[in-house]
Amino acid sequence: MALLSIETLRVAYGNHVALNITEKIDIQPGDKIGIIGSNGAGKTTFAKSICGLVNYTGKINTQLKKCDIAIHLQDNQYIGRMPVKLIIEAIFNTTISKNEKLLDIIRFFDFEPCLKKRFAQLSGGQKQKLTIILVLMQNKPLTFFDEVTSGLDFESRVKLVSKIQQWYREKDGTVCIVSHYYDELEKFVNKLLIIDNGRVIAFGDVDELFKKLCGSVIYVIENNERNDKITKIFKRIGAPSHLIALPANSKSDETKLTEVLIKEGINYKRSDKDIEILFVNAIKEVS
Amino acid sequence: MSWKLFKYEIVNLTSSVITIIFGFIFPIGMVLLFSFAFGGEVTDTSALHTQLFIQFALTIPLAILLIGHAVNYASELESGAALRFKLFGHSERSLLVSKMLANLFFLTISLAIYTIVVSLALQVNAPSVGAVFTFLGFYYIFSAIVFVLGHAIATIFGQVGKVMGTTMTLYFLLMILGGMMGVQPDNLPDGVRHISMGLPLYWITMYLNDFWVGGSFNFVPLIITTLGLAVLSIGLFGLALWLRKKGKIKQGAKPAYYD
Repeated sequence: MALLSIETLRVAYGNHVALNITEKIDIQPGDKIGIIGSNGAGKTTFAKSICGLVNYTGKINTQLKKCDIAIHLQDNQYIGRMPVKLIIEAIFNTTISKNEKLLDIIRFFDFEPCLKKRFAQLSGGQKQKLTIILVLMQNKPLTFFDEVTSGLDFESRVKLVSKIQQWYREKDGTVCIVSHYYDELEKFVNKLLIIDNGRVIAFGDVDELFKKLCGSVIYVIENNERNDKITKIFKRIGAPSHLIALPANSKSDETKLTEVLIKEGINYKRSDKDIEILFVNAIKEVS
Repeated sequence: MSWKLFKYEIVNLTSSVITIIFGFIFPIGMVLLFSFAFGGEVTDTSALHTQLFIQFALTIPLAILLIGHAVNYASELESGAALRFKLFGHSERSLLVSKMLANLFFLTISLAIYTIVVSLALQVNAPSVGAVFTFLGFYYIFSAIVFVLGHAIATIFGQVGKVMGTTMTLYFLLMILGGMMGVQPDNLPDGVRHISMGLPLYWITMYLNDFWVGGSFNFVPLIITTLGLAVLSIGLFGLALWLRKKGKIKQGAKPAYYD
């Protein structure tokens, strides 16, 4: 039985329809769902409507109550002058030093030194960590992470995402993660929800969607005049303008392709889960 | 409401510059300043000091609640901090109760310090028992009213700048109408005086001084004007809740939920 099942979902801000889902979406227990789409596609609205933060019309079937869903929003501000320790203690009505579970999470995210600071003294990454700790501590059956790493430098982003992945490796919680960083999702999610202009373009298992939209395997190379000329003979699928994506649906296709690429000294990336290319082709298919 | 949340609100209040300056320092400073400024013009110094004590004690709830609480709460709404607490399972009611209790605690401490400092520095008459009850009763009822007023203003505007501007204007307006800016309400121009008489501050400023030293006091106008102000505040709070329910108030760091 699905943890949460959306039959229809419509959110409008005045005359602007931000989200209009007309096909059934089932979120199963333990799912790790990546929610992707361009800016303004309706990703945050989707998360907020399920959490009851925006008014919607439609039908969502679930046994979950509002209090069973946790959400990490893009903006996670607290009063700047407040001590971080006090924020955490006030939210959970606890004393950190006496709460082993909380201490474990704080240690897991290497957050102990930040407890002595005021919220305004935290860096962007530390602020995100604080809210992640607060969200994970709730241990809810369904958790939304909305662009957890936006605004962070590469190193902080990688560290933070790897910590979240590590955390969920041993947990069976259901997670929906909104992100523009597809590489983060590739390592974490088993399903994808692709939204464009408020409509669902694709929803399903990452591997199945990849197979359907891109083929078994793809080879991605840099898009330049020489590479373009050399690989003209091969079938292509959609890719961002700086890349060329070459699908291969059999071992012999792969052999032919790699032989040419190696012979010509072209650097390539082989993937059977490239979410960026998957996304481009999902959009392309609709348009 | 939890003890930790109460502690959080106390720190929130005590670390607010506005609350400290206007709630603690300003009333004491103004009483001392006015007592020196007008001290030479009157024969009964203790009557002047008592009147100043009564008047400026009432600026404490105005500063702490009308400005301090409203601005603090607006800041929480604007930054999304209030929403985050709700998302972590705190009901709006429990958050509001913790804020009310923290403010009540702070108001009491502030009044106690104000009373001690002003009593030591000036010749304030010893009050009659009835005056103490009337004064304290009014102090806390007036505080409750301005808390509701400040909360309503913060909910409607939801932005620090607008809330600061509105509450500061109201603060000084009420101080002028209540005779706290050096001009007694009865010396105000006719039209303004009539407005002043519609406020409970007028009746406290003009007549509590006599009652303080054993005279009589007509409670009817005070009760009527207090009820009037309460109705106005509750009405504004109701309007704020209605506007929010209808989605006509945008709050949070990002005004709309686009994306």
